[in-house]
Amino acid sequence: MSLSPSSFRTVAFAFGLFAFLALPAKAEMPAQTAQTQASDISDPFEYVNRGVFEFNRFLDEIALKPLAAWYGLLPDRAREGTHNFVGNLKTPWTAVNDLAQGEPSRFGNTFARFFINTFLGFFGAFDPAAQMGFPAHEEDAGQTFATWGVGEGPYIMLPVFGPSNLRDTVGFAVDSFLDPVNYIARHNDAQWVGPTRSAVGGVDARHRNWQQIEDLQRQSTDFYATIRRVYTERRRAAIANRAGGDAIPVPRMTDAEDAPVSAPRAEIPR
Amino acid sequence: MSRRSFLAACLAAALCAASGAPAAAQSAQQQQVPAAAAFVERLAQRAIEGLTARDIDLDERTKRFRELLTESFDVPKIGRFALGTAWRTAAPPDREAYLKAFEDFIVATYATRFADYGGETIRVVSSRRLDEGEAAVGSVFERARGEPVRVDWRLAPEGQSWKIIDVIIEGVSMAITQRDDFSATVQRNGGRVGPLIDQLREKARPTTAQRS
Repeated sequence: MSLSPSSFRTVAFAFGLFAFLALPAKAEMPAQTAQTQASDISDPFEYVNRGVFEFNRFLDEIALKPLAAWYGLLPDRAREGTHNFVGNLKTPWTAVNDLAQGEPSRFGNTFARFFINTFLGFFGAFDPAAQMGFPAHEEDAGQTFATWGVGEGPYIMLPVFGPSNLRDTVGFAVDSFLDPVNYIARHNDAQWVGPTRSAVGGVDARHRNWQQIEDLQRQSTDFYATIRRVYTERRRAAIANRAGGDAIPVPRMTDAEDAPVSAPRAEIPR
Repeated sequence: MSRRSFLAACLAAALCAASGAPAAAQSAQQQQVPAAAAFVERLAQRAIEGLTARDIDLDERTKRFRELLTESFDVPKIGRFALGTAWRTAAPPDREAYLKAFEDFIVATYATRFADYGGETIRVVSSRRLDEGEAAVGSVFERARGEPVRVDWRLAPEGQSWKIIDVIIEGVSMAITQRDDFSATVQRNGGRVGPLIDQLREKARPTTAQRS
């Protein structure tokens, strides 16, 4: 990365805001690409978002995918260890968010995980806590805002960091600044810590999701629209802390039935 | 080491006790739908038995998959839903061509995935009743490596049995995702369904890599 590490996220964030603020671009949109709206996702900056998405796909091809492929050459144990280590660094911030969300039992779980894995799991390289009945979960500021009643806001495709929305973009900035590990590192002149863990976490995630991404791409006719939906639903599920089928999205599937055109039903998507 | 782990366990236990019951405090038991759960279990078993054999070629696997798919899924209904509002305005020949292309696309996309089967199992964990006689069945897809994946099935009654009308993977509905995807393609082509049909046909064509 040629950017100075400390400013890396900030710059990317500024780019995201720029994309968000580039509102007038909408007016110049060619009619054909103006409206591919999903019924319940707001995407007024689609034209800009699609451009950023293409840029991200280019970055993925030239940088992230090759890195993830090299990462895949490491022994399984090394990758597991990396995954656990990066995950463990997230637990203090997850614990803060558990508290902020008023989830004391989840906070207890996260707190226990951090101490067990840091002290018994070689600074988080192993995950003995999971075997002891403390399963992993992640919470971030975007999810916390959601539990406070903040809506998603418009969908935003961030450069480098990928799909987001206004709420999660602000949350992402808050995450970066307030994360205890980053915070302590910053105040000890270790500016490289935050960006490094983000980069390693990104490569690890890209490798772990390799097949899913290939599959999604193969089964989509408009990859942008598919990613927009998948991101949004994954976030909604994470916010609801859905363990399972209690809150699965159940659309009425009658809306495309052979009803006469003249008598559309109420639930027709836009 | 054991002393430390004991301490850690104590600490953890104390924390949990202090913070309320950690285990799932089951909310009001929902109405179970055993028939729907059994349907999904049977389907999973048949898929594993029939589709994962290593000694069958692509054509045979595809044929078996198509049989299972059309028998257990309401493919035309899913297809109509996936096309969104464009279904309404599409001319009858286009609808027909689309539904055919949609089925072929589904078959081509998913049939090959059973070829590299690695011992995954599907465990049905819950079922509940939805509106209009429909049912939701929750299951966990367990892989040899990696985290288990939550898969929910939505079923509509069909005579004495059921037909699956949606598969929800980790909270992401395949039907809704497909509808977003197809609608975007239709809208980007000025509301015409033809280009989408062409793309689906293109994707349904097996690559040479899959053939060999």
